Amino acid sequence: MTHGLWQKPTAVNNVETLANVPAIIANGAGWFRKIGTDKCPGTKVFTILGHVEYPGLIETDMGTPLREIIFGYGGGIRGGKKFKAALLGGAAGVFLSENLLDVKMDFESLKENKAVLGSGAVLVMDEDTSIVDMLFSIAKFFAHESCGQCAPCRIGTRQILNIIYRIRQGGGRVGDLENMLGLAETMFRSSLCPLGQSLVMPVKSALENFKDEFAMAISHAEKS
Amino acid sequence: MSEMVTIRIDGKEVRAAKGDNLLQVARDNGFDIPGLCFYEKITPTGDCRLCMVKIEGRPGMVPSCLVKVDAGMNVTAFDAQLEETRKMLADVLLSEHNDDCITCERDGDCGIQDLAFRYGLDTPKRTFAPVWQDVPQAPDSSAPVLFYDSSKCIKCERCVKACWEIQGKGVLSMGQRGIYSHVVAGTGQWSGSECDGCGECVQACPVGALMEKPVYGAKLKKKDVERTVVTTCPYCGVGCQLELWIKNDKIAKVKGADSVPNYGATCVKGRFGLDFVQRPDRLTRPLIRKDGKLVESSWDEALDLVAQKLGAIKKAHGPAALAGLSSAKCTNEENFVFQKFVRTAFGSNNVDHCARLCHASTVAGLARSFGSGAMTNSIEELERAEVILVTGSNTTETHPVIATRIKKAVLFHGAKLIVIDPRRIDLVKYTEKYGGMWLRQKNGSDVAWANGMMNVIIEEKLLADEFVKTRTEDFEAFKKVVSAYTPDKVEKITGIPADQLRQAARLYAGAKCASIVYSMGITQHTTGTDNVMSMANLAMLTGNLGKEAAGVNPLRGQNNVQGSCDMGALPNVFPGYQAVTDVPAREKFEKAWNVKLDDKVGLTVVEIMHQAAEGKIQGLYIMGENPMVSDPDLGHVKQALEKLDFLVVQDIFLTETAQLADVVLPVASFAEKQGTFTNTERRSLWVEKAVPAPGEARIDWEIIRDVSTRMGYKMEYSCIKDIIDEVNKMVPQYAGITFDRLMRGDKLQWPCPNPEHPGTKFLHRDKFTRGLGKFFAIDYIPPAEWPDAKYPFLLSTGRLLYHYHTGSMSRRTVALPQYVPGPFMEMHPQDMKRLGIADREQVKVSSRRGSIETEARESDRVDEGSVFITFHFAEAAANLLTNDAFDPIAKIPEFKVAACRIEKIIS
Repeated sequence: MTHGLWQKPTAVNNVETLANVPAIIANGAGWFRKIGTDKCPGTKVFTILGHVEYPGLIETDMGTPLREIIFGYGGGIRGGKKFKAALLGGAAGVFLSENLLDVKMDFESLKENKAVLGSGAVLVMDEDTSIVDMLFSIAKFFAHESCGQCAPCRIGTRQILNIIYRIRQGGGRVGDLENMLGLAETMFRSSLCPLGQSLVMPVKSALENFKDEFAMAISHAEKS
Repeated sequence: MSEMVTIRIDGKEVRAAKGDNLLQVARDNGFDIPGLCFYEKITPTGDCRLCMVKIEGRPGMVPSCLVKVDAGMNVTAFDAQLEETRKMLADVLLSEHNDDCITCERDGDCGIQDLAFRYGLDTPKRTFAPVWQDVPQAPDSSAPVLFYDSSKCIKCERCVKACWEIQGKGVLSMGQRGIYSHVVAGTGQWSGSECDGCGECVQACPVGALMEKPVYGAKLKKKDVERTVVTTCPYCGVGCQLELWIKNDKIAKVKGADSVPNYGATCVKGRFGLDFVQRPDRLTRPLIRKDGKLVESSWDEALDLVAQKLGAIKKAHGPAALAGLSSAKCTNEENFVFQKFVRTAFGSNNVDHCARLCHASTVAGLARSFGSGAMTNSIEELERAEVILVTGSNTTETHPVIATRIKKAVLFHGAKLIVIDPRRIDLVKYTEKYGGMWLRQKNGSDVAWANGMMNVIIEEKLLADEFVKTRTEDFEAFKKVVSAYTPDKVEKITGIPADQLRQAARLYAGAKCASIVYSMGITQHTTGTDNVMSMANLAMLTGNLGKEAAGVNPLRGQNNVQGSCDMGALPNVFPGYQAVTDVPAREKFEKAWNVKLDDKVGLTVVEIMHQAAEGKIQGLYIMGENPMVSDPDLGHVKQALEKLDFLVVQDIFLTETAQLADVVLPVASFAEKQGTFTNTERRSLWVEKAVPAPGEARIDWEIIRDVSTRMGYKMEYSCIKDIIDEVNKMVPQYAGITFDRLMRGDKLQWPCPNPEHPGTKFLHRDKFTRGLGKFFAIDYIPPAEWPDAKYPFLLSTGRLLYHYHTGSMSRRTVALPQYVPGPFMEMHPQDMKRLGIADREQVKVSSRRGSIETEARESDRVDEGSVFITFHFAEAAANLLTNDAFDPIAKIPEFKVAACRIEKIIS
């Protein structure tokens, strides 16, 4: 990029970043570095939502374990149900299963675990939640949001939506999951803007971390 | 020239200009990277993503169509991952496409079909199920010439960009979003949009989504085309190159050919209006009037009769009793032979043609100012002009493909457009919004505004001193006259506010290169020659001559009106503007033609009609003209033609004029013969035979040759080359435009003095044709007729996009009358309200010469107190009303100003 707004050099930052600036100037970088982890100093705003007792916004140190966010700040799973999954970072985020509950919520640690911090959203799902349903609603969101300019996003979002819809209706077929994943990866490689590139994360993480659930949906369909 | 750099593509070193399009460079060097949305004529879009490549140092894949070549770039065009990605994209694209190839016209000529074939994606091998049936489709067949099938649309946006970037129209856009996105014309339906049917979108579509309607008969697949023939469009003076697709010896489809001057673009007439060629009412046998009726005859009988009758008139009353009208629709060669026929076999200079009615004042005026009466610069140069001043030219409708150049200059190259026109023409939309101006002058006040602008330019010292000093003469006398035309005085005459005039003068004079474009709003006045010379004055004063992207550019109306003049189908000059009164010139032609030639200037079109009415002209030979619709004061024309002893008409149809003839000779149309048309920019363009002529119709020059020989002046042309060879010998400007070069595909602009000469892009580079440019001191003279109490409205006449000249061609097409079926009059809503006339109500329009009934249409294009009627329609012929008062020098009638009265019809 060679120029920005009104053909001038332009800094684009979100409010969260800019909100740190006065405190750093007032208290010094040393103070800021004491908070959070070595590589990710400071705090992070998280949005806790879904099946928790206390949904809402929190600000806490970078690197706080996911478990503490859900079970500490969020007050645990609503109605005493069991934890099943968390979607981190928004619709274009990553599904995590129980075995990653202790992951530290900072850029580096999440990257190591093929997840993202993204918008800071932590969407919590209890044991009754269908990941297939969840992925369906995410696909629907992307199909709706696609502007339609580039082919991979315009048609790819629709194809993925159609496949998940079919699986959900009991019409899943062998190969659906590979095709869906392959398409999401092609979209990632070839889409014009990040919208079309984004579906790969939820699709890939859902299929990897909740493989059995998808496999079962399809094998049921194959049998019947 | 931009810097040449070396890049690597799949290990191969490739040289390219820095900044070149990477996809284009790769393809040019043999790397067949797929891609559907890329189209050389528009900016790249990057929609289909098929042309993804890898570039060292950049993450992932990038679409090569959006990459500009830079030194040292290392590109991977093909590897397994790229091909796998492309294949999946193709698979996905196919799922959105209704691949009903069996019935699709684009079968065998389709981007997505080729893609499916390339990646072996026959239906069972596709991964993804069709999605196009899932979504509501938005087909649109409301346009007369094309239909849009959204189920086949791949949303590549080529049509959208072609409409904007090639045609400068911007009618199309993408509507909806996501999988629902599709092409939309205007705000909804094609028929309600501003689409004028040029078909640029159809030509740009890589698949079968946008298709021509079968205006030429049936649907047609490209593979069923028997041959394609590139030829020159018969409609206007732009000279668009067309590719005719022929099947069963009929024109089956028309595409724009990718060469100068149009580079693939056409207008609605060129692409969808050539079916007149194959109408069943084409003349196929000679007709002779017997007992008052025209009956079929043999060629021998007809030609003998013509020669005998004309010969008898000549013998009894002398050469001055005969006259001939040549045709701006015919080729150069036919015009050459025709004028030679009149000058030799008839023995007089009584030869003229409809240039008299359009640009006689240009030929006369520019010849006086510069020494040659033609467009000084070239069409392409308009795109590089800083300022374009368009006056008296509704370019969008009369020269549509030139209008696209003007629009592109404004939209994409920062040019400022000044429109000076009494009507709110389409080009006005491209003025104020983009830093230009629209000045609305009173009809016929052109000398006044030009003098006013020049007054400002001299007062404010914006003139080109050096140019005026070294390249022109008679400046002082001119300056004296102009000094009286202060902006305030000019405001009183023209109605143009003084401040606007000053601003326009500054804008025009301030440009490094400014181009004047004009047409019949300047020429068709009793002061036509004065108007033209005023344009010349204005350009000379600012040094806008003899250089690129400047000049004085009259847009010639008919396909070969420039050539007909060049070939001497005029009463005062031999071919090449060599005066009949000039002794050496006459001797040259006498020697070559071996005959004594008339040394007196002959009669013009209007004079021929007057003398026919008086009984002085008794025999008239008309080749391809229709004065019964085209000439002023038609009532008088009819009397004149009926008074003739003998009238011969050669035409492709039984026109209004042919119906009055004693002998009618059927001829080949443009599509059935060879020859050349010279377009408005002096460019000689080849016309190729595409289909056989119907019945016994013959080629114009062959008929003239045979009549001439029968009348005693033997002509021995055996083929088109014989005539071209003679033109090369006799017409200095065409000396180098040889048959061999035409065959080779050269499209040369005259002057082209020898076979090695590359032709002349713009005139008067180092000196004017006449030596120094001559300033003329010109005073404003009002039009011959002006509204008064009895005839309170100002009537102006002109053309429409959808029709051409007397309608003999355009009205015999399937498509064009769907846009405009018949006559109408533009009238201001306030005037209609005042007279209690409803929109589309039939009214009676009368002038001192006649009256017609036509439909009144509400329009803010005309000013209050003015009306506009097109002259295409014989049933409400505008020329029954027009004034045949003419310019004293050029003898051009004042078609643009007459006084008329408008009345409701009380039934």
